[in-house]
Amino acid sequence: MELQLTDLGNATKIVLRGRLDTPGVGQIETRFIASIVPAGKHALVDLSGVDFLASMGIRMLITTAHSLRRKKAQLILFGAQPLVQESLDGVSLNQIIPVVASESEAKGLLKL
Amino acid sequence: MSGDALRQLELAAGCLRMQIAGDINGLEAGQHTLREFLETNAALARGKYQADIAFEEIVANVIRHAYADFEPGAHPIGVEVTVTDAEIVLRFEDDGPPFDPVAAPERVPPTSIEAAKGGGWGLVLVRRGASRMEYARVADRNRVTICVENR
Repeated sequence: MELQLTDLGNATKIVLRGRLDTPGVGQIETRFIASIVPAGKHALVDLSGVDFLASMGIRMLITTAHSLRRKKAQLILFGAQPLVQESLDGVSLNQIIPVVASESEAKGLLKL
Repeated sequence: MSGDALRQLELAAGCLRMQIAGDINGLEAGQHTLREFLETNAALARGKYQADIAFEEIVANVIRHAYADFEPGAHPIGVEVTVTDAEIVLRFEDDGPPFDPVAAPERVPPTSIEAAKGGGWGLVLVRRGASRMEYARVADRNRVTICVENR
C-alpha cells in the first residue's frame, strides 16, 4: 500500500495505491492520519489507484473524516474504480462523506 | 510472514482447501493464495472481488473477535473455495465461540459524519456482495458458507 501527499495550500491531496484491507491499512493508517488531521486542512483523497476496499479501509476513512470535521475541515473522496465504488455504495458512505468522480469535482466542492 | 501462516493446502481443478493460522499472517497468506487460485480458475472480475471481500471480512472477524484472547495463530481457520461458471462458494470453519453472521442485526447506515462509527462494516459488505449466506454450528465449530455470483 502506497501513500503520496501533495500540499495544495488550503488542502492536502492524498493519493492512495494498493489494497485498503487489513494488511494495507496496517501499513499506512498512522501516516495517513498524521499527515492529515493535525494540520486541520481539507483532504482530497484520490482512490483511483485503490483496487480493493474492505471494512478496515472504510473505518480509516470515516474516523479521519470525523476527526477533520471537528477541526471544521472536510475529507472528500474521488476517482474510485467501479468495484471499489460498489464497496462505498454498499455502506452508503456518500451519505456522510462526499464521494465524487474526479479531482476537479472534488476541488469544486471546496471552491479551490 | 511466519512460515506456518498457511499450514495446509489442497488444490484441485476448481477447488481450493487451505488451513490458515488465525492471525494477521494467516489472513495475508490466505489472501494471496485465494487470489492466485481465483485468477487461474476462471473467476470473473466482480466474483473475484466479492470473494476477496468475503474472505477478508470473515477471517478478520474471527481473528479480531473469536481469537482475540488467544496466542496469535494458536487456532487455525479452515477455508474451502469452489469455482463454477455460475458462482464462487467459500466455506469457513473456526473453533471460536458460536457466532452466526447470518442472524447478526443489519447495521443501519449513519446519516451524518458526527453520528458515524468507524468500524463494523464488514458484514454489511459481505451481505451486499453475496447471493447466499448460510451458518451452521457443527462439532463445536462455526461453519459459514458464502456464495457470490461468478460474473
